[in-house]
Amino acid sequence: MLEFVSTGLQLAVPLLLASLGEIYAERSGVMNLGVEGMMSAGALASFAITLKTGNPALGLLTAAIVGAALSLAHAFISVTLRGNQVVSGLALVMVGCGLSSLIGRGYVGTPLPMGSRRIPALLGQDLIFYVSVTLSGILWLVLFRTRAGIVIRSVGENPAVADSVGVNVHAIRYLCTAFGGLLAGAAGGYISTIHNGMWVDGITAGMGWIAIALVIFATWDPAKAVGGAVLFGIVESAGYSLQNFGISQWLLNSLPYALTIVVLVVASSRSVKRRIGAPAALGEPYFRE
Amino acid sequence: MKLAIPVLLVVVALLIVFLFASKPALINPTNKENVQTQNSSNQGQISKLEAAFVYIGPIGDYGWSHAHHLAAQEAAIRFGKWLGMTEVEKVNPSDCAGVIEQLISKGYKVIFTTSFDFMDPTLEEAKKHPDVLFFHCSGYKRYRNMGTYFLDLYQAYYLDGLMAGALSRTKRIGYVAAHTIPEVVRHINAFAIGVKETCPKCEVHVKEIGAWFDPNKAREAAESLIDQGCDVLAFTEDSPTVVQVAEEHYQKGERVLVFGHYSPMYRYGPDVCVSGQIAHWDVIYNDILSKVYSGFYNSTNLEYVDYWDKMNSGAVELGCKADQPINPRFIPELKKVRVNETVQLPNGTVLKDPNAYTLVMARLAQMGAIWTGHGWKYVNDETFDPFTGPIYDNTGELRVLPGQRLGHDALWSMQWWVENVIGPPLSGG
Amino acid sequence: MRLERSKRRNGVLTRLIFSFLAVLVASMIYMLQGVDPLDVFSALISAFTTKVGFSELLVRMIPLLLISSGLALCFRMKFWNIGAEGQYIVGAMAAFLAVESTRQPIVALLSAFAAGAVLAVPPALMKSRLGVNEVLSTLMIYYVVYWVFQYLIHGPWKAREKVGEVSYGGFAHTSIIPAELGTVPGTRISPVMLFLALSSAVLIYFVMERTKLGFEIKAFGGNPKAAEISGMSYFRTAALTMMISGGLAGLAGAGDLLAIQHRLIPEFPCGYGFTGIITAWLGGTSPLGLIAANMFFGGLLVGGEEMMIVYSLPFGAINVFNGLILMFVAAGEFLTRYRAR
Repeated sequence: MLEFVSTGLQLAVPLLLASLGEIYAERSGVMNLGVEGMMSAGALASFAITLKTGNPALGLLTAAIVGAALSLAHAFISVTLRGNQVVSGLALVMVGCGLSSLIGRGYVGTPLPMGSRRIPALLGQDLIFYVSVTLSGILWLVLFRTRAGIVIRSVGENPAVADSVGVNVHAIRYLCTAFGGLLAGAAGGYISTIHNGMWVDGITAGMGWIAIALVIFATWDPAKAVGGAVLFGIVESAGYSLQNFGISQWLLNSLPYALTIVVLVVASSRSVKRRIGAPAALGEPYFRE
Repeated sequence: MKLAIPVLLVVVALLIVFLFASKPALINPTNKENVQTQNSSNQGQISKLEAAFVYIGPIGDYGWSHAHHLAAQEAAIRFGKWLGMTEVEKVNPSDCAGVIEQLISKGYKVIFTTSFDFMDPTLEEAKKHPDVLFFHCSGYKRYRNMGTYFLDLYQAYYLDGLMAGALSRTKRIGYVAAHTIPEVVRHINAFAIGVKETCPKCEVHVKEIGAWFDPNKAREAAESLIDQGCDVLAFTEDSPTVVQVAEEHYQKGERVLVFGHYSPMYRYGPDVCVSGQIAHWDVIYNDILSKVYSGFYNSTNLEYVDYWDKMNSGAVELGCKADQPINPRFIPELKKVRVNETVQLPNGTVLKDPNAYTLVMARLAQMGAIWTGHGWKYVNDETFDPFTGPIYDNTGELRVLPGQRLGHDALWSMQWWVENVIGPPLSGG
Repeated sequence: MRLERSKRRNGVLTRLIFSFLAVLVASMIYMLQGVDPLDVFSALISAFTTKVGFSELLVRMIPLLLISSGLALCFRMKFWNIGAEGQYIVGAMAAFLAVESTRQPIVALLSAFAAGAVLAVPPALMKSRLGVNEVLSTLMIYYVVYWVFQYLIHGPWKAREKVGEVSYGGFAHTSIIPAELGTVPGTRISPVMLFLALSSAVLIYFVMERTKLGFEIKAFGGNPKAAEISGMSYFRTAALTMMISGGLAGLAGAGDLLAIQHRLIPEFPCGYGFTGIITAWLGGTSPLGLIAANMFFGGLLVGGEEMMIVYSLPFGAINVFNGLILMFVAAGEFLTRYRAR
C-alpha cells in the first residue's frame, strides 16, 4: 500500500545528492544553474563505464569526476574571471546536455545487465539512499558545527570580512563549486545506472532544475534538504494514487513549486530571516578592494 | 590570473579526454554530396529525390523519433542511388515552419513532418509551396500536396490483451499511458477488449503520466500499478522503463509480466516480456518514396492520400523482438488456458474453445498477418476487428451495436473507456 | 595586480576575441567527431547571408528582443528576473482569451501586456517587503504557471476541431484563434511585432536616459542603501521595472500566438524566456547592443538548424557549440569591465 513512499524515496536520492552539492556551492556564494547539465553528463559517463566494467561503483565515481570537471569550468568563469554566473550556468547546461546527447548516441537501446546494477539494499532502499542521508547529516554538521563550515558560510555571506581575516575566498569557492559538481555528477549516475539501468537522451528529465528548487525549499540547510527531497519525491510518486480520485496530474506537478513559494514567504519573516535566508553574497563575484 | 590559465587548460583537456574516451557520433557523410548535386536536380531532371525528415524529439529517445530515424536510414540505404536524405531533430513546433522554409531553400522536394503538433505549420507551408510534397504523420489535415500517414497499433494491443488476460493471476492488469489522446485511448480500449475475451473478470487500471517521454514518471506509474496488485503491465509511452521495472521485480522473485511497445525491448526484460508491438515505419516510407519517385504521387494528388497501416501491411509486428511474436517461455502457459468461444479462420477452419495461444494465432490470421513459425505472411483482408459490437463503456452505455464495426472516424476521436477499464476521467474537449 | 573598473566600455573587441576562442575550441571538438569545422561555420554564416536564413533569424529575434529589453532593465537595477518564460506564457494565455472573446488582436496584445505585468509584481513585492530572493521567486512562479498552462491545455481549454465532415476531439490543443496578425508575404515576420520589438529596445534606452524611473534604476543598481536614504522607494522602482519587463515578455507570448502559432499547444513555451536572460546580459541597456545580441542569438538558433540540415550534425553538437560560445563570452566579460593595472 505504501509502495509510493518507497518509490518516492528512490526518486529522492538523486534530488538529495544534487541539492546537497548545490547547497554547498551556493553557501560559498556561487550560484551554479548548470546542475541539469552536470547530471546529464554524469548519467552518461556512469552508464558507459558501468557497461564496460560491470562495476557500478566505478561508474558513479567517474560520473562524480565528470561533474566536478564541468563545474570547474563554471568556477573558473564565475570566481576567477568574475563572469555572470547565470549565463555561465545556463551555458553549462547546454554543454553538459549537448555532450551527453552527442556521445550517448552509441549507447541508446543497450540495457545495463541486471547484475551490474545490483548494490546492497536494506528495507527496500539501496545503499546509496542511506549513504546520501548520512552524508546530509555530515554536511549539516560540517556547515553549522565546524570551523570549516563557518569559513564557507562567511565567504558566502561577506567575502570581504572573510578575506580580511585571512580566508582564501577564491579557493573556498572553487572547492565548494567542485564539490557541488561532484555530487551532481553522482546524482546523474544514480539516475542512469542504479535507478533506470539505461541511457536515453534526456534521461535526467529536468531533475537538475528540481534540485535547484529544492535548495531554496530547504533554505540552504543540508538537513532540511532530506525532508524536502523526500517530500518532492513522494509528491511526484503519490500523484498516481491520487489520479484515481480524479486529481489532475498537471496541477499536482505544480504543487512542489507552489509549496516552495509559500516556504520562501514564511521563511522570510524578519525574525527567522537571519538564520535561514539566502547567502547574502550569492551570485556576487568578489573583488579585493 | 596566474592561476587562471592552467585551470582553463585543465578544463579543456578534460573535455577533450571525455570526447576521446567515447565512440564518435553517427554522422551521415553522404549528405554533403547531396547539397552539391542539388543544382542539377533543380534544373528539372528527377535524377535524384531530395527528402527531409523533421523530428520533434532527439533521435536518441529510443522511442518515437528513434523509430522514424531508423526507418529513414533504412530508406537511405535502400534507395541510396536516387535518394538524398537529411534529418532535423529536436524541432519545436513553433520553429517547424521555419525549418521547412530552410529545407525548401536547400532544394528538398519531399518533406516528412513526424509529430502531431507539426500539423498546422505543415499545412501552412504546403499552401505556400505548391510544388513541394509534404507528408504529415499522425494528423488529420490534408491538402493537394500534403498527405498523411500513420501506423495504428490497436490490433497488436488487442492481441496483447488476449495474452494478458490469460496470464494474469491477480485479475488486475496495469497500463501506463503517456496522454489520454484518442490514439492512446484506442490502444487501451483494444487491449481491454482482448483482456475481457480471455478473462471476463479482469480489470485494466490506467495511470496517465502526462508526458511522452519521462522515464522517472513512467517508473513511478508502473510501481504504483504493481503496488495496487497488477501482475501484468502494458504501456504507451516512449521509453523501455516499464519493461525494465517488470524485470527488476522478476529478479526479486515476483511475477510481473509486461508487453513491449514500439521498439524491440526484449533485451530490457528477457524473462518478463511476453509480447508487444514493434513499429516498422520503413514499410510506409518505402512505399511513399518509391511512389513519389515513379511520379505516381505528385504535388496535386495527395489530398486523399492517407496511410493508415495496420498488421496486414507488415508495418506493425506482434512481438517483443523481431520474428518472435510470443516469447517461447510463456507459450506452454498460454496453451493451458481455454477460451470458451468459436472462431472461424479465413480458410474456413472452425476452432471450438481454442487455447489462448491458438486464439492469438487465429486472430492474427483473421487480421491479415499469418505467422508461419519462422516468418510473416500478409493477406490484404481483415475478417475480424477488435472494435466489433456489442461494446459497452464504463458507465454501462452501449457504445457499439452488436455486429457493428467502428470506423476510422470513430476510432480517431475516441474519448470513452471500455467497461473493464478503470482510468482517469476523459474530457473530450 | 590591481583591478580597476574600466572607464571606457570597449567590450566589442574583447567579446569578438573570446567568441573566436570559443570557435577554436568548438572546431577541435568537430574535428574529433570527423566534421570539417569550415563546413559548420559556413552553415552558421548562411543564417545571416541567405534570404530564408535572415528572415527566420528575425522571426526568432522578435520575441527574444522583447523579452531581453525588459530583462535588461531589471538587470540594470540588479533585480534578477529569471521568470520571463512564465510571463511569456501568461501573456499568451491572456491573448488567447482576449482574442477568443473580442476577435481584436489589439485587445489581445494589451491584455497580454497587462497579464505579464501583473504576474511580475509579486516578486518585487516579496523582495522589498520580505527580502525574498527574486531569482528564486521568479523561477518558482514560472514553474507554477507552466503546469497550470499544461493543465488548461490538457483539460478545460482542449477543443474539438472539424475537418470536412469529421469532428476530432481529445487532442491537447486549443481551438485556432479567430483573428491573427499579418505577416510579410513570403516570410513569417509580423511587421507589427517587429516594430514593437525594435521600439521596446529604444524604449528601454529612453527610460534609462530620460526618465526619473531610469535614474532610480541606476541608483538602486549602483548603491541601494544610498538610494533608499535619499528617499526613493525600492518597491515602487522594482515593481515598475518588473511591470515593464513582465509586460514585454507577455507581449512576446501574444505575438507568437497571434502571428506564428495561432493556437496553444503543449510545446508553446519553447524557452525564449531563458534565452532572453543571456541576450539581455550580452546586450545591456543599449538599443544597438540589444538588437545585435538578439540577432546574434537568433543566428545561432537558425544556424544550428542549417548545420543539422546540411551537415547532419546532431543537435547535441550544436548545443555544445552554443554553450561554449556563451561560456567564453561570459569569461571575456572580465576583460571588458576590468583592467589590470
